Amino acid sequence: MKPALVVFDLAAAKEAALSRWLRERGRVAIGFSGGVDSAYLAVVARRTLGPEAVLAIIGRSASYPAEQWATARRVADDFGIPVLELDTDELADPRYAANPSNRCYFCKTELWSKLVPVARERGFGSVLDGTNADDLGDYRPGAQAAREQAIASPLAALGFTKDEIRTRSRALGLPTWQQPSSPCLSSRLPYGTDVTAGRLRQVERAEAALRALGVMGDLRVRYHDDLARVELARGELARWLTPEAVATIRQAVVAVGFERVAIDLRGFRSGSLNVLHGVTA
Amino acid sequence: MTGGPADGVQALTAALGALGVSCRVEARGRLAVIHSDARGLSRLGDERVRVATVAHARDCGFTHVAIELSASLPADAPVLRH
Repeated sequence: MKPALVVFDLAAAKEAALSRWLRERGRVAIGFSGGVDSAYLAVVARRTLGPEAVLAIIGRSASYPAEQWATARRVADDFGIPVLELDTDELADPRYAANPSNRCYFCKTELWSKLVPVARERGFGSVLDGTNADDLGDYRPGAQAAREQAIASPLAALGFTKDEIRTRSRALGLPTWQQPSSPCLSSRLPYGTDVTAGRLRQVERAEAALRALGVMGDLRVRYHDDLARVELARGELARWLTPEAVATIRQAVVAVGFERVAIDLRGFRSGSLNVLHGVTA
Repeated sequence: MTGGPADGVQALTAALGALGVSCRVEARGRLAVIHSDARGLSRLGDERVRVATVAHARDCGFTHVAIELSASLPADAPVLRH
């Protein structure tokens, strides 16, 4: 007799564990950005607990990309997830606006200090975020703010990797399953360069203009005063490094206020400005 | 690795020349900005040349290297800036 072939789907098993974890909490509020991780968490919570026991809370501020907000609303609408939007204003904190390497700590402190009381008032005893297991190895000062506010990170606690979240997101029909990572707009400014609403708008408009040209995959416009350094997905570089293509890129980026435009020859790198300033190797 | 930004600029310029990319290099801290022409741009469209450029830039003390998007090398392009 042939031995039976048993295929163990680790990601699906983790999802089952996540559902058990959620049921133990009963009612959960989720810091909801519309990114891959929080979208997946919100959808599993909604499926597990039902709409009355889940609240996805979006913190809207100048550093939150409009494109990301649109995705968050779409996921919430498509999956019947109740949403609450709060205005947050990390730019009003001079410790954030000065753009130190632990900038994210001040942003997340602002976010959670507004979100947690609202969640508690509405009877949500547990407040969650979408931190995953891969994030734990990164430089993430915002995680400290989450710990101070007792935010739970079930995806990290249950060992979900980013790839597993994408796999399960695809299985559940989430449009975010192959969405590129989309950190806040302030990540486009080198540490020490003041974060202003105008600069955030400038990089956001530049990225939107490049998307409109047909740039696909990961994309960042890094702010270097007069110079915009464009990071494209590595598979896109050859396509855009032609005289005709660079002319269109330059025109699009100059139109939003940059004097000079350059394409990074290594392509997209997560945390690229951390490397430039020696925060990580 | 070279001793300082000026050394890095000279070394990277020479390395790029050997790759067929005629250019000037502007140092903005640890970012190297390459000023080249259409032929240099065309060379950098080749992945092998790009990979070699990134490796040379790293050897010359730069963490990032980018090509400025202009059709020709400006006569007054700054060569070194801290």
